[in-house]
Amino acid sequence: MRIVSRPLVLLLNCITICLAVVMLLPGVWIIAASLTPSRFLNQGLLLKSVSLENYFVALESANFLLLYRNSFVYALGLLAAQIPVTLLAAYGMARAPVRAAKLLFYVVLFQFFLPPVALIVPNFILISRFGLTDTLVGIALPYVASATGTLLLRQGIRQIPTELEEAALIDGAGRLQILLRVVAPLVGPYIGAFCLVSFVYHWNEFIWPLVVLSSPEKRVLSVGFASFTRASESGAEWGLIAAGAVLVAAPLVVAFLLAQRFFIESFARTGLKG
Amino acid sequence: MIRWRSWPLFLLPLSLFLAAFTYLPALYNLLEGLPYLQLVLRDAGTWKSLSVTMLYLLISVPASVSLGLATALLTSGASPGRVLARVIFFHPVILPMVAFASIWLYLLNPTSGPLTELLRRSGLLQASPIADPNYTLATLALVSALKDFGLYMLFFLAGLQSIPHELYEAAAIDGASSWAIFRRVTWPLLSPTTFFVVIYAVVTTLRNVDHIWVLTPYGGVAGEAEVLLYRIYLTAFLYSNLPVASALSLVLALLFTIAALVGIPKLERGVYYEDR
Repeated sequence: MRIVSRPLVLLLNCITICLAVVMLLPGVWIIAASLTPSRFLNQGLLLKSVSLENYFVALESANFLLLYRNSFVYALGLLAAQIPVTLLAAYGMARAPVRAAKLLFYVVLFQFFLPPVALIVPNFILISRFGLTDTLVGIALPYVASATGTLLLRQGIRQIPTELEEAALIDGAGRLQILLRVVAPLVGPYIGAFCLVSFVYHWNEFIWPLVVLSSPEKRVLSVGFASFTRASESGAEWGLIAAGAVLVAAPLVVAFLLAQRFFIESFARTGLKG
Repeated sequence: MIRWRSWPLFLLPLSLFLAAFTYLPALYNLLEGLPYLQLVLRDAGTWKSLSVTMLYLLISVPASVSLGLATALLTSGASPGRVLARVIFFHPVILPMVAFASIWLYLLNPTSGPLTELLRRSGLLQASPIADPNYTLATLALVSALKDFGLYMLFFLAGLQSIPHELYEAAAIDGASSWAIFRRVTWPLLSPTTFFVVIYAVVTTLRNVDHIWVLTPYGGVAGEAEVLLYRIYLTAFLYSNLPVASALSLVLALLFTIAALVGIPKLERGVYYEDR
């Protein structure tokens, strides 16, 4: 069934292509810069000659394998805790009595109001009380109760008509069962979006891991990457920064392509409501 | 709706973490910052920074949210071209802000930037927008919007997937125009997502500070780009004054709370939920 007329489709596709060409620029620039030796790049001679020099220097200056591993453990481990905690809470919030639900919304939202800088000192004190400084668990714990995840999933759950759940309740299903079997599949795209957001955010996060982690073998990728930017302040190694950025971002492109299928077609909702 | 008594149990794990890592730190900042609150509120710099922040949000949030919505509508679907377009729109989100901002620094460099040259030749601007105090804030706001709109596209795409196909088909059979379908089906059913995205965009936009550091260190010539969070960072890290940074954080949290209590009920009135 075509709901948009043919000339309009053509026009919209043209707009999409134009926008995409413009937005291609950052990625193309970064890749081009990463392939240009710094001595040319600093004179503004982009792609004057092409070499993998910057990548070799970047790969030599840090143990990337270890950095990737630590970042993966941190970002995925955190997700494994965030998803059950936020999904349970989002469902509880969405189906709580109206007044309590309203209050809870603000209680969770409050997390957005504190700037991340304000959290560093008190959370560090708390983490050290638990003896978790210099551990990946220590950097993950403050993020388990994610307001982003809870509120996004709450919005998703409130898009589901309650009739389905009521039918399941009458059939004798428990709430937890309903959440896992009925609700969670229906909010799949929201869970996918949240996974991607959380993964990208924590992959690139810098100051908090820098404060908590002290031993080099526990370092995460973003902290390793920062050593390039710091070097740049003295010598403006833009080529090296670009190569580092490509190395940091590459796994995220893969993560996006994997999460991508959640957004393709509404596999969940079709046939739910007429 | 069947009554459910044990819902608080589902909120228990979240509450424990929230208490420890959000509310305890809030209390800490309250105790640390309170003695300096008066000092901070008397400082004209705080108020200037607040008005800069408002203007910054007013430029950046509408730009990023509408770009996010537009690109989600344009790229929803499974064809390889759309997948590619989504990757392109999303990729600035993935890049570290320092790297993304340094591209703009190259393009907008006051002496040799290609974009500066283009603007000068076309007669639009005499100087680079990052060197002209009148345009600095707007430039920073737009750089932030271009970095983040891909994220909002993602949220909107998730929201679009939960709109039943049947509704579109029924509307098309009734002969509704594309605009009418958008206005009567997509927009209302997307509103819970839009509600979330607007709140999220305000918070994310306020938290972006790295590009300010790259493009206009120290917040511009006359502080015209010193948004509140950047001021907090400068206070905490450059001037190592943590108690004053705590007091500034308190001001921010207080403002947010007031804005939320006033604005969110109004915003949510326009939201259409299917469960009530």
